[in-house]
Amino acid sequence: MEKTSVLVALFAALIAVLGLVPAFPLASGVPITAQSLGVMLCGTILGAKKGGLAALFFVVLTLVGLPLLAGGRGGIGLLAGASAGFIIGFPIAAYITGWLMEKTKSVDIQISVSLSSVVGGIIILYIPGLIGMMINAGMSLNAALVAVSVYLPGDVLKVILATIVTSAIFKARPNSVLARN
Amino acid sequence: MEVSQNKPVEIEISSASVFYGKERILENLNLSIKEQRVGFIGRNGSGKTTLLRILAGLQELHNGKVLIDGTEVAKKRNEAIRKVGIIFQNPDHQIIFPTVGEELRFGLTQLGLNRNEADLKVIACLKEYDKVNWFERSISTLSQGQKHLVCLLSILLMKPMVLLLDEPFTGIDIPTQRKLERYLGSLKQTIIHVSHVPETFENYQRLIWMDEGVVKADGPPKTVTKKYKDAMNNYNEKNI
Amino acid sequence: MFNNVSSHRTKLDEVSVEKKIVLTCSAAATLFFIKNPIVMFSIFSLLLLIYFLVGGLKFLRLGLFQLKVTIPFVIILAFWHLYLDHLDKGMTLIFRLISAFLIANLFLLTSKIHDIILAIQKYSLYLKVFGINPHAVSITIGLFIRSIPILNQRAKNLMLAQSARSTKRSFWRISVPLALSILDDADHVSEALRARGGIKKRES
Repeated sequence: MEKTSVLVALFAALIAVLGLVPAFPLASGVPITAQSLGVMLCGTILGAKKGGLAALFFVVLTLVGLPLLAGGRGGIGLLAGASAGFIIGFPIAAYITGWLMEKTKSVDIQISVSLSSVVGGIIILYIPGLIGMMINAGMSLNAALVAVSVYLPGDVLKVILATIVTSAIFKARPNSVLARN
Repeated sequence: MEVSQNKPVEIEISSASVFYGKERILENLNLSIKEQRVGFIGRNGSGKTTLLRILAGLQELHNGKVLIDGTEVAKKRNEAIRKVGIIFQNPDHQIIFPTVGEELRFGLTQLGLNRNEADLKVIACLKEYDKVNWFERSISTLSQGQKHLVCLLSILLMKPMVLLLDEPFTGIDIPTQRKLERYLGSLKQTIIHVSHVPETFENYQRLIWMDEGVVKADGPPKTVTKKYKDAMNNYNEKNI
Repeated sequence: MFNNVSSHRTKLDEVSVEKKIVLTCSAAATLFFIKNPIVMFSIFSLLLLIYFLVGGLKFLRLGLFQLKVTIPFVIILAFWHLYLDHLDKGMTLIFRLISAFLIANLFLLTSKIHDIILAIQKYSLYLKVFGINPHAVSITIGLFIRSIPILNQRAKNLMLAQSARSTKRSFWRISVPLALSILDDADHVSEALRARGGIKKRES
């Protein structure tokens, strides 16, 4: 119980701190930030339930008004912005990433992490992200797809980082990668 | 701060053993403590921190039990937090809340007080230490020594009979250290203090030297310190 | 980290945070049901008027300055809808975005972050209904706010330690030690939490 609370708080704080790493706003209005790396790590390290909870916790506090999103943004106004779908998608992405990690326990850790974070942190995250852009920017699906494709290289880089970090932790302290216990 | 007890608290450790996997941390330890100031000394990995954790009831024993004033601290947690408080090495590992007021209030609400009752006590306590303006202050604006004081106050507010200290002076400057020592010296609680610095224990009543999970020496600080220092000086370099 | 954006006192500072949260959320939600650009533009103008009435010209300027984060997206929206010749829709979306930020910022500029956190902690009690332990939520919020400056400082220290021994400075090199240190913290903090009685199973 205590451990769960503490892990949720610390990983939510990790997502927030990753937002302080300088962000690059791209032409589509959604900045490239390290925050989605934090979301992936929630899933790959904490697993579905705790990871999803940590991301959810972060998102709720951001929408209520704490300036936690990259660039010091926060508040309900974000729901009308370009990133709305991505923000809402954070907890879902973390949950699915964690869920896939738990389903691929017997697979090699690097493959398991890469696969889970590609599916959870990119594919699943992009679905609400695209829907958000279609609603808030009035774009067609194709146009939105073109707009988000700019982020793919950055997100692939984050998958690689998530893999490095998670496997390093698995090597140093295997019991801490809860998704694989 | 008034202390509810006059007679010394009795601490009983009987045939306590702790293993991490196959590694032996404490083995069949028997200690009876009635003194008010007791120190534990030993090298890193000697089992002294584990000893503190079993006294605080945070570590399950594989064998034996620990009684403080008759309470089995690992089992009866609700009673245990009234009998024993622990201050950890790193205040950042202990402080949970963002402001001093919230942090100090927490222990009291844990004991069942409501918010208002707790706040009154917190403010009274801050007054006593001449830090009234700390109530609203954010922890992140405090210095390391000030954070140590917050940890100490948050535990003292809970009025435990026994105070456990795990190297509480690591990383703070000497004047602050002296100040904290004075605060601690004035307390009527039983203090059990773990450190690897022999000088810490000059005014203590009893010092216990631990090594590899067993008691190497036990007695007045002067004699134990001498034995400990001799042994440390004789350590072969390759043993480091 | 959580310095308040505005030191400017306004008439809305006195209103309780709870009321403002409810008002802000319902106002922002209403925006999504409006499809007419003229109505949307009127709402935008009305919001500017509210800023002025609440805190005067200086506050209005502050409010407009806070809109800078929306600029990239506004530009995209404008070009995209000009290109598609959907001016009506474009105007609706642009003024919806700006209005939503004006509403949210009005709340943030007139509330202390500390009060917002207190309100969240207070209302998290009602999560009981969903079987969520409110004591756990309140501890988690406290610990979360407390951890942000610690982790931020640690990231900076790791960067320093890294540049002391290497000419390269990169985030990815510190990500492993940073993550490991967080897991270490989790062990220590949950132990310290247990030492003070831990999380209560039921709120008394």
